[in-house]
Amino acid sequence: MKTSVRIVGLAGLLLFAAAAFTPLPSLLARQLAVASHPGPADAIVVLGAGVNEDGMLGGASLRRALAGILLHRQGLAPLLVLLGPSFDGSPPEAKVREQLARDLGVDPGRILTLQDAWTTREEAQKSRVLLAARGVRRILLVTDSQHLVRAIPLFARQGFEVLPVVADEESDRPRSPEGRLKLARRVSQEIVARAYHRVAGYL
Amino acid sequence: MHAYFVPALALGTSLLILVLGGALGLPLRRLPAALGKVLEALGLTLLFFAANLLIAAAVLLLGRLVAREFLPLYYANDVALLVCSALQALAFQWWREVATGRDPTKRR
Repeated sequence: MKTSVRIVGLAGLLLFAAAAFTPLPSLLARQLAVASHPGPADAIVVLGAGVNEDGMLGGASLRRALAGILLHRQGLAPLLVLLGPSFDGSPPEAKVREQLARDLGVDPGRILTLQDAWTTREEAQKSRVLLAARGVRRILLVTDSQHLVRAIPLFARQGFEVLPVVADEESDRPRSPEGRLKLARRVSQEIVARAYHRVAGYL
Repeated sequence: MHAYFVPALALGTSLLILVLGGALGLPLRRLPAALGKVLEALGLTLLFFAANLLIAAAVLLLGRLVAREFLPLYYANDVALLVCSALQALAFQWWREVATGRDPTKRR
Protein backbone atom coordinates (compact mmCIF):
# COMPACT_ATOMS: atom_id res chain seq x y z
CA MET A 1 0.00 0.00 0.00
CA LYS A 2 2.85 2.35 0.89
CA THR A 3 4.32 1.94 -2.62
CA SER A 4 0.98 2.71 -4.28
CA VAL A 5 0.58 5.85 -2.16
CA ARG A 6 4.12 6.93 -3.09
CA ILE A 7 3.37 6.38 -6.78
CA VAL A 8 0.28 8.60 -6.43
CA GLY A 9 2.47 11.17 -4.69
CA LEU A 10 5.10 11.04 -7.43
CA ALA A 11 2.42 11.40 -10.11
CA GLY A 12 1.02 14.40 -8.22
CA LEU A 13 4.47 15.94 -7.93
CA LEU A 14 5.17 15.52 -11.65
CA LEU A 15 1.76 16.93 -12.52
CA PHE A 16 2.37 19.93 -10.26
CA ALA A 17 5.79 20.56 -11.85
CA ALA A 18 4.35 20.29 -15.36
CA ALA A 19 1.44 22.62 -14.50
CA ALA A 20 3.47 25.24 -12.64
CA PHE A 21 6.80 25.27 -14.48
CA THR A 22 6.05 24.34 -18.10
CA PRO A 23 3.71 25.80 -20.76
CA LEU A 24 1.50 22.66 -20.58
CA PRO A 25 -1.57 24.55 -19.18
CA SER A 26 -1.35 27.07 -22.04
CA LEU A 27 -1.13 24.30 -24.64
CA LEU A 28 -4.13 22.52 -23.12
CA ALA A 29 -6.12 25.74 -22.78
CA ARG A 30 -5.56 26.65 -26.43
CA GLN A 31 -6.48 23.12 -27.56
CA LEU A 32 -9.72 23.15 -25.57
CA ALA A 33 -10.83 26.74 -26.21
CA VAL A 34 -13.11 28.45 -28.71
CA ALA A 35 -12.15 31.66 -30.53
CA SER A 36 -14.37 34.72 -31.03
CA HIS A 37 -16.45 35.02 -34.19
CA PRO A 38 -18.54 38.16 -33.69
CA GLY A 39 -21.04 39.34 -36.29
CA PRO A 40 -24.49 40.84 -36.60
CA ALA A 41 -27.09 39.00 -34.48
CA ASP A 42 -30.56 39.37 -32.95
CA ALA A 43 -29.32 39.50 -29.33
CA ILE A 44 -26.23 39.49 -27.17
CA VAL A 45 -26.44 36.90 -24.37
CA VAL A 46 -23.99 37.44 -21.51
CA LEU A 47 -23.66 34.38 -19.26
CA GLY A 48 -23.43 34.69 -15.47
CA ALA A 49 -20.18 34.35 -13.53
CA GLY A 50 -20.88 35.50 -9.97
CA VAL A 51 -21.44 38.52 -7.76
CA ASN A 52 -20.14 39.17 -4.22
CA GLU A 53 -22.37 39.45 -1.15
CA ASP A 54 -21.99 43.24 -1.24
CA GLY A 55 -23.18 43.43 -4.86
CA MET A 56 -19.75 43.80 -6.46
CA LEU A 57 -19.42 41.90 -9.74
CA GLY A 58 -16.69 39.28 -9.81
CA GLY A 59 -13.81 39.81 -12.26
CA ALA A 60 -15.15 37.34 -14.82
CA SER A 61 -18.67 38.72 -14.53
CA LEU A 62 -17.48 42.28 -15.08
CA ARG A 63 -15.37 41.35 -18.11
CA ARG A 64 -18.24 39.46 -19.71
CA ALA A 65 -20.70 42.29 -19.02
CA LEU A 66 -18.32 44.89 -20.48
CA ALA A 67 -17.74 42.72 -23.57
CA GLY A 68 -21.53 42.46 -24.05
CA ILE A 69 -22.03 46.20 -23.58
CA LEU A 70 -19.25 46.95 -26.11
CA LEU A 71 -20.82 44.61 -28.67
CA HIS A 72 -24.14 46.40 -28.14
CA ARG A 73 -22.52 49.82 -28.47
CA GLN A 74 -20.91 48.62 -31.73
CA GLY A 75 -24.43 47.93 -33.00
CA LEU A 76 -23.97 44.18 -33.51
CA ALA A 77 -27.36 43.34 -31.94
CA PRO A 78 -30.37 45.33 -30.74
CA LEU A 79 -30.95 43.37 -27.50
CA LEU A 80 -28.60 42.90 -24.56
CA VAL A 81 -29.50 39.93 -22.34
CA LEU A 82 -27.74 39.91 -18.96
CA LEU A 83 -27.86 36.78 -16.84
CA GLY A 84 -26.96 35.88 -13.26
CA PRO A 85 -28.81 34.94 -10.08
CA SER A 86 -28.37 36.09 -6.50
CA PHE A 87 -25.68 34.30 -4.45
CA ASP A 88 -25.97 33.90 -0.66
CA GLY A 89 -28.07 37.01 -0.16
CA SER A 90 -26.32 39.17 -2.76
CA PRO A 91 -28.33 41.31 -5.15
CA PRO A 92 -29.01 39.43 -8.42
CA GLU A 93 -25.96 39.52 -10.68
CA ALA A 94 -28.19 40.31 -13.69
CA LYS A 95 -29.56 43.42 -11.94
CA VAL A 96 -26.09 44.69 -10.99
CA ARG A 97 -25.02 44.22 -14.61
CA GLU A 98 -28.18 45.95 -15.84
CA GLN A 99 -27.32 49.01 -13.72
CA LEU A 100 -23.78 48.98 -15.12
CA ALA A 101 -25.13 48.83 -18.69
CA ARG A 102 -27.50 51.73 -17.99
CA ASP A 103 -24.69 53.76 -16.44
CA LEU A 104 -22.61 53.12 -19.55
CA GLY A 105 -25.35 54.46 -21.78
CA VAL A 106 -27.29 51.40 -22.95
CA ASP A 107 -30.98 52.17 -23.56
CA PRO A 108 -32.91 50.45 -20.69
CA GLY A 109 -35.54 49.37 -23.19
CA ARG A 110 -32.90 47.23 -24.95
CA ILE A 111 -31.84 45.33 -21.83
CA LEU A 112 -33.35 42.03 -20.72
CA THR A 113 -32.36 40.20 -17.52
CA LEU A 114 -32.57 36.58 -16.37
CA GLN A 115 -32.10 36.08 -12.63
CA ASP A 116 -33.21 32.52 -12.00
CA ALA A 117 -30.86 30.38 -14.10
CA TRP A 118 -28.25 28.58 -11.99
CA THR A 119 -26.41 26.43 -14.52
CA THR A 120 -25.30 26.91 -18.12
CA ARG A 121 -28.00 24.45 -19.19
CA GLU A 122 -30.66 26.44 -17.34
CA GLU A 123 -29.30 29.64 -18.85
CA ALA A 124 -29.79 28.13 -22.32
CA GLN A 125 -33.29 26.83 -21.55
CA LYS A 126 -34.51 30.04 -19.92
CA SER A 127 -32.92 32.22 -22.61
CA ARG A 128 -34.98 30.33 -25.18
CA VAL A 129 -38.21 30.99 -23.21
CA LEU A 130 -37.29 34.67 -22.88
CA LEU A 131 -36.13 35.20 -26.46
CA ALA A 132 -38.32 32.88 -28.55
CA ALA A 133 -41.30 35.24 -28.24
CA ARG A 134 -39.13 38.08 -29.57
CA GLY A 135 -38.12 36.09 -32.64
CA VAL A 136 -34.48 35.89 -31.60
CA ARG A 137 -32.55 33.12 -33.35
CA ARG A 138 -29.01 34.32 -33.91
CA ILE A 139 -27.14 35.27 -30.76
CA LEU A 140 -23.73 36.54 -29.75
CA LEU A 141 -22.85 34.35 -26.76
CA VAL A 142 -20.42 35.98 -24.33
CA THR A 143 -18.43 33.94 -21.82
CA ASP A 144 -14.86 32.69 -21.36
CA SER A 145 -13.06 30.67 -24.04
CA GLN A 146 -13.15 27.40 -22.06
CA HIS A 147 -16.79 27.72 -21.04
CA LEU A 148 -17.86 28.43 -24.62
CA VAL A 149 -17.03 24.85 -25.68
CA ARG A 150 -19.80 23.62 -23.36
CA ALA A 151 -22.12 26.62 -23.70
CA ILE A 152 -22.31 26.62 -27.53
CA PRO A 153 -23.90 23.13 -27.90
CA LEU A 154 -26.22 23.79 -24.94
CA PHE A 155 -27.57 26.95 -26.63
CA ALA A 156 -27.59 25.31 -30.08
CA ARG A 157 -29.77 22.55 -28.62
CA GLN A 158 -32.31 25.23 -27.74
CA GLY A 159 -32.48 26.27 -31.39
CA PHE A 160 -30.10 29.24 -31.30
CA GLU A 161 -27.52 29.96 -33.96
CA VAL A 162 -24.50 30.87 -31.84
CA LEU A 163 -21.72 33.34 -32.60
CA PRO A 164 -19.12 32.96 -29.84
CA VAL A 165 -17.48 35.94 -28.17
CA VAL A 166 -14.60 35.33 -25.77
CA ALA A 167 -14.30 37.38 -22.56
CA ASP A 168 -11.47 35.75 -20.63
CA GLU A 169 -10.50 36.80 -17.15
CA GLU A 170 -6.99 35.40 -17.40
CA SER A 171 -4.45 35.14 -20.19
CA ASP A 172 -3.97 31.72 -21.80
CA ARG A 173 -0.22 32.44 -21.80
CA PRO A 174 0.59 33.17 -18.16
CA ARG A 175 4.28 33.49 -17.29
CA SER A 176 4.23 33.08 -13.52
CA PRO A 177 3.91 29.62 -11.91
CA GLU A 178 0.85 30.85 -10.00
CA GLY A 179 -0.77 32.07 -13.23
CA ARG A 180 -0.08 28.70 -14.85
CA LEU A 181 -1.58 26.87 -11.86
CA LYS A 182 -4.70 29.07 -12.05
CA LEU A 183 -5.07 28.31 -15.74
CA ALA A 184 -4.51 24.58 -15.12
CA ARG A 185 -7.23 24.69 -12.47
CA ARG A 186 -9.63 26.48 -14.84
CA VAL A 187 -8.96 23.97 -17.64
CA SER A 188 -9.34 20.96 -15.31
CA GLN A 189 -12.58 22.40 -13.92
CA GLU A 190 -13.98 22.74 -17.43
CA ILE A 191 -12.86 19.21 -18.41
CA VAL A 192 -14.71 17.81 -15.37
CA ALA A 193 -17.80 19.93 -16.19
CA ARG A 194 -17.80 18.66 -19.79
CA ALA A 195 -17.49 15.06 -18.60
CA TYR A 196 -20.38 15.59 -16.15
CA HIS A 197 -22.55 17.07 -18.92
CA ARG A 198 -21.76 14.15 -21.24
CA VAL A 199 -22.53 11.54 -18.57
CA ALA A 200 -25.78 13.32 -17.70
CA GLY A 201 -26.71 13.46 -21.41
CA TYR A 202 -26.80 17.28 -21.58
CA LEU A 203 -24.28 17.44 -24.45
CA MET B 1 12.60 35.56 -16.01
CA HIS B 2 9.32 35.45 -14.04
CA ALA B 3 8.68 31.83 -15.10
CA TYR B 4 12.04 30.63 -13.78
CA PHE B 5 12.39 32.73 -10.61
CA VAL B 6 10.39 30.51 -8.23
CA PRO B 7 11.80 27.13 -9.40
CA ALA B 8 15.35 28.56 -9.33
CA LEU B 9 14.78 29.98 -5.85
CA ALA B 10 13.31 26.67 -4.60
CA LEU B 11 16.28 24.78 -6.03
CA GLY B 12 18.73 27.18 -4.37
CA THR B 13 17.06 27.07 -0.95
CA SER B 14 16.77 23.26 -1.20
CA LEU B 15 20.56 23.12 -1.61
CA LEU B 16 20.92 25.38 1.43
CA ILE B 17 18.67 23.03 3.43
CA LEU B 18 20.91 20.15 2.32
CA VAL B 19 23.95 22.02 3.65
CA LEU B 20 22.11 22.89 6.88
CA GLY B 21 21.13 19.23 7.35
CA GLY B 22 24.76 18.21 6.90
CA ALA B 23 25.86 20.82 9.44
CA LEU B 24 23.34 19.45 11.93
CA GLY B 25 24.80 15.98 11.46
CA LEU B 26 21.92 14.46 9.47
CA PRO B 27 23.24 11.55 7.37
CA LEU B 28 22.88 12.09 3.60
CA ARG B 29 22.16 8.37 3.06
CA ARG B 30 18.84 8.82 4.96
CA LEU B 31 17.65 11.54 2.57
CA PRO B 32 16.01 9.12 0.04
CA ALA B 33 13.96 7.62 2.88
CA ALA B 34 12.86 11.13 3.91
CA LEU B 35 11.91 11.96 0.32
CA GLY B 36 9.92 8.73 0.24
CA LYS B 37 7.96 10.00 3.25
CA VAL B 38 7.32 13.26 1.39
CA LEU B 39 5.89 11.32 -1.57
CA GLU B 40 3.78 9.32 0.86
CA ALA B 41 2.37 12.49 2.43
CA LEU B 42 1.73 13.95 -1.01
CA GLY B 43 0.03 10.75 -2.21
CA LEU B 44 -2.18 10.66 0.89
CA THR B 45 -3.04 14.34 0.36
CA LEU B 46 -4.18 13.63 -3.20
CA LEU B 47 -6.19 10.58 -2.15
CA PHE B 48 -7.87 12.48 0.69
CA PHE B 49 -8.50 15.42 -1.66
CA ALA B 50 -10.17 13.14 -4.22
CA ALA B 51 -12.30 11.60 -1.46
CA ASN B 52 -13.22 15.04 -0.09
CA LEU B 53 -14.22 16.22 -3.58
CA LEU B 54 -16.39 13.17 -4.21
CA ILE B 55 -18.07 13.47 -0.82
CA ALA B 56 -18.58 17.23 -1.33
CA ALA B 57 -20.24 16.61 -4.72
CA ALA B 58 -22.48 13.90 -3.24
CA VAL B 59 -23.46 16.13 -0.28
CA LEU B 60 -24.25 19.09 -2.56
CA LEU B 61 -26.29 16.97 -5.00
CA LEU B 62 -28.19 15.35 -2.11
CA GLY B 63 -28.57 18.77 -0.47
CA ARG B 64 -30.34 20.02 -3.60
CA LEU B 65 -32.96 17.30 -3.15
CA VAL B 66 -33.37 17.76 0.60
CA ALA B 67 -33.18 21.57 0.85
CA ARG B 68 -35.04 22.06 -2.46
CA GLU B 69 -32.72 24.89 -3.35
CA PHE B 70 -29.81 25.08 -5.74
CA LEU B 71 -26.44 24.30 -4.18
CA PRO B 72 -23.69 24.89 -6.78
CA LEU B 73 -20.99 22.26 -7.20
CA TYR B 74 -18.61 25.25 -7.25
CA TYR B 75 -18.85 25.30 -3.43
CA ALA B 76 -16.42 22.36 -3.50
CA ASN B 77 -14.08 24.21 -5.85
CA ASP B 78 -12.06 25.87 -3.09
CA VAL B 79 -8.31 25.82 -2.43
CA ALA B 80 -9.06 25.54 1.30
CA LEU B 81 -10.28 21.97 0.66
CA LEU B 82 -6.82 21.06 -0.68
CA VAL B 83 -5.15 22.57 2.41
CA CYS B 84 -7.58 20.70 4.71
CA SER B 85 -6.81 17.47 2.80
CA ALA B 86 -3.07 18.06 3.30
CA LEU B 87 -3.60 18.52 7.04
CA GLN B 88 -5.74 15.37 7.18
CA ALA B 89 -3.04 13.45 5.30
CA LEU B 90 -0.26 14.65 7.61
CA ALA B 91 -2.30 13.83 10.72
CA PHE B 92 -3.14 10.38 9.32
CA GLN B 93 0.46 9.66 8.33
CA TRP B 94 1.81 10.66 11.72
CA TRP B 95 -0.95 8.75 13.50
CA ARG B 96 0.14 5.64 11.57
CA GLU B 97 3.81 6.27 12.34
CA VAL B 98 3.17 6.78 16.06
CA ALA B 99 0.78 3.82 16.29
CA THR B 100 3.29 1.44 14.68
CA GLY B 101 6.10 2.63 16.97
CA ARG B 102 8.08 4.29 14.17
CA ASP B 103 7.94 7.74 15.69
CA PRO B 104 11.46 9.11 15.02
CA THR B 105 11.11 11.63 17.85
CA LYS B 106 10.95 8.72 20.34
CA ARG B 107 14.17 7.15 19.14
CA ARG B 108 16.15 10.23 20.09
